[in-house]
Amino acid sequence: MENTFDVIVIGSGISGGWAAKEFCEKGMKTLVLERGRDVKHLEDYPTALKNPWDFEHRNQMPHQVREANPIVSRCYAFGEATEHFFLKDTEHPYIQEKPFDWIRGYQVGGKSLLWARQVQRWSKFDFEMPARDGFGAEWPISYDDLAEWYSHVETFVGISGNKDGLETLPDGEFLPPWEMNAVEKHIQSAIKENYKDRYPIIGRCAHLTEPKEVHLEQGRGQCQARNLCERGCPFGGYFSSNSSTIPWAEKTGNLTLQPDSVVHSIIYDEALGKAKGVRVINRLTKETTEYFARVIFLNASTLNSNLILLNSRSERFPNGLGNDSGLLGKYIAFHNYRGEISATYKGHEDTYYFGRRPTAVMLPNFRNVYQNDMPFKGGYQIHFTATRKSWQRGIASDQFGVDFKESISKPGDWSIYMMAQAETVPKEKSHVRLSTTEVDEWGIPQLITSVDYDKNDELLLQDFFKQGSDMLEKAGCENITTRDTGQAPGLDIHEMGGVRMGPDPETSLLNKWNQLHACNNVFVTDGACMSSTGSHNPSLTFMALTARAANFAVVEMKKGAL
Amino acid sequence: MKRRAALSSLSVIAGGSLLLPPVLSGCETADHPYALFNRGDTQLLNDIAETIIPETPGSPGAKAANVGGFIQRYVTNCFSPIDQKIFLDGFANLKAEIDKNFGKRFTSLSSAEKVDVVRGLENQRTEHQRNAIPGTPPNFYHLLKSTILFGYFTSEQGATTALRYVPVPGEQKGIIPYNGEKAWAL
Repeated sequence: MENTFDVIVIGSGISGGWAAKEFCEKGMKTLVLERGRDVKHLEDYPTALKNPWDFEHRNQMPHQVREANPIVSRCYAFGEATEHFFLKDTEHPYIQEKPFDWIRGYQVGGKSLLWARQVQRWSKFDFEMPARDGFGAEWPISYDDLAEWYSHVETFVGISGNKDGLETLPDGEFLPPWEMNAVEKHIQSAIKENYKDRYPIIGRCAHLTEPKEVHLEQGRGQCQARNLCERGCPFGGYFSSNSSTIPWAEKTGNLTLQPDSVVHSIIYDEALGKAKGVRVINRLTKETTEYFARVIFLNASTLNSNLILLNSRSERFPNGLGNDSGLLGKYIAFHNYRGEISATYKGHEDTYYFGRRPTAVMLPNFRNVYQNDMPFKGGYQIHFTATRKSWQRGIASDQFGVDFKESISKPGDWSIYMMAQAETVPKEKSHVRLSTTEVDEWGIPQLITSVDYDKNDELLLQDFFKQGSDMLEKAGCENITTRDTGQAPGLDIHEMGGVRMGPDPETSLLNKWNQLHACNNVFVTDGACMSSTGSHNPSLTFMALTARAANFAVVEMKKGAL
Repeated sequence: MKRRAALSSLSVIAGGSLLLPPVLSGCETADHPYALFNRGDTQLLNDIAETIIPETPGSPGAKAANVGGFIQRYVTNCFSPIDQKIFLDGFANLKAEIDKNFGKRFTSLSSAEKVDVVRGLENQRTEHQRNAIPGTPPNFYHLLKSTILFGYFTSEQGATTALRYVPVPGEQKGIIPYNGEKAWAL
């Protein structure tokens, strides 16, 4: 039958790319639908080798663009060098019942081109804490279910890291780690000496510090420490769908990659009692086409996966596919990035560093680890860096002229930047739903976001300010200043949930294999599936869950069970 | 092996469509490409910028980097309307002040007189900031100096001579000895 495949994967970002790779490797004819344009590795990175002075405004965005696109303009990575990989606010409107900065990358590769590439394994505590402490749903899987899939993903992606032997941040398959500088090492030692439960480590990130055969086979090379990653890497130094999983899947001959395909909905076959395909609207011509497959993987990004399921209405599922529990779109959570601390440090002026390291020092969560002994729920991971001040310190100086120029041309004193990546509590009232009045350009209902902070976030933020400041003080730092950025949820770009996993169909949407409880040939393995947010970076877990679910699906398909 | 892999990636790019486009500085050579500014403003802004970031041994100053041209482009396209008004009003005032005090253009002033003018602007900023409460709009000279420093240190001349520009470090070292060298450009 025309337009029929073994598997349809909706979305080509970090998790969709993994689904494509696993299915194609196992001989499944796989259609990957991407709503945006195609972006080919190397060919479509127009700014990758530009110098700062090659940009008309030195990588700053014109006022008119910022004014017309306030949401995306708040993203740290949005600039002249990267704007072609970001969706402009006006291109796909949504309704903010409460402020939510929805940052999107609509192209082949999705946000895997733009991500911050920090990949810490979740520990057993991340999975167990929500149910144990009564602030979230029970995960239907444990760390042990995922460990081998973490290894599977890490080996292929290529991850730099140090084997630190921490229970709170399990080691993985690592390439050589990046290095801390003198002041970071000093702060690391001071924290270890003063706190038995705190072990700062060098961050683990998806960069090839020393490529292995499997990476060279992907056509990727060593990370050159340029740290211009969001432009697309001409060396393939970091992992993206574009540089890695998609070309790998293509090589099998089993992949059909179809850009410009906006998925309207998943088609439910009432007679068969399962999904039979998807309805696609061409982004440019607006023409509708249907595609069919035995298995459908939904990897459209957290909120868009929610949107597609909510819009997949049938007689059997009038409120969205698989939504028997009525919880679809609910329990959306994110990472609280509001806490920042800055400081200065005197000493080690006789040392400097070389190259631009694509990671930071990280302090794995140390709150509520073994029991809920804090006045708040959940934990937080701290990131910090020490750098020597640049020419920018000259702006506030009242000097000018020859001596001034020579002085600010040299590295200045050390400054410290620290931030928290904090778990948030998934709540039923934090939700997304479809507008009943507004549609987008393709006739699809617009998404309404209703996600907010709560008192727990405030308590946790204050704890970070106190603990972070104390740690820096014990390390001899000065001018310690805390700042609440006040940013809206979403700008962390770690939104998760809405289609959460769980053992009980009454309180969750997906089972332990990421199948919809009520429609088992539809799998959701992107951020939408997350039962809780943990306090460590989530993308690695999305990838591991995807690889695990895809391999399960292949076995079931071969058995004829799917 | 690593290096070869890296080089082959680069050659793919060189053979493809990613060769660098013509440098964008061409439009700055027009006399007054920005309606908010006048003919002669490029020279005036370059001369002020040169007083703040002068030529030093082995390193051209702000004028050679045409920071004056960049300022006009940046103020026109990237400033918010509020900052733009502060800048343009302050700039007009400055021109009038120079005319009143010296009876000639900034460019024709002696080096000592130029320094006096900029010192005066620094003092005004200090005064402005002393009285500022949170939310007070920035002072004209603060905007000017920010843009001069930004424009210079991100220019080819500034990044490669006043700083050390290493576009492709190739590796990272956490600790190297420091003996008074220039800072890295990025």
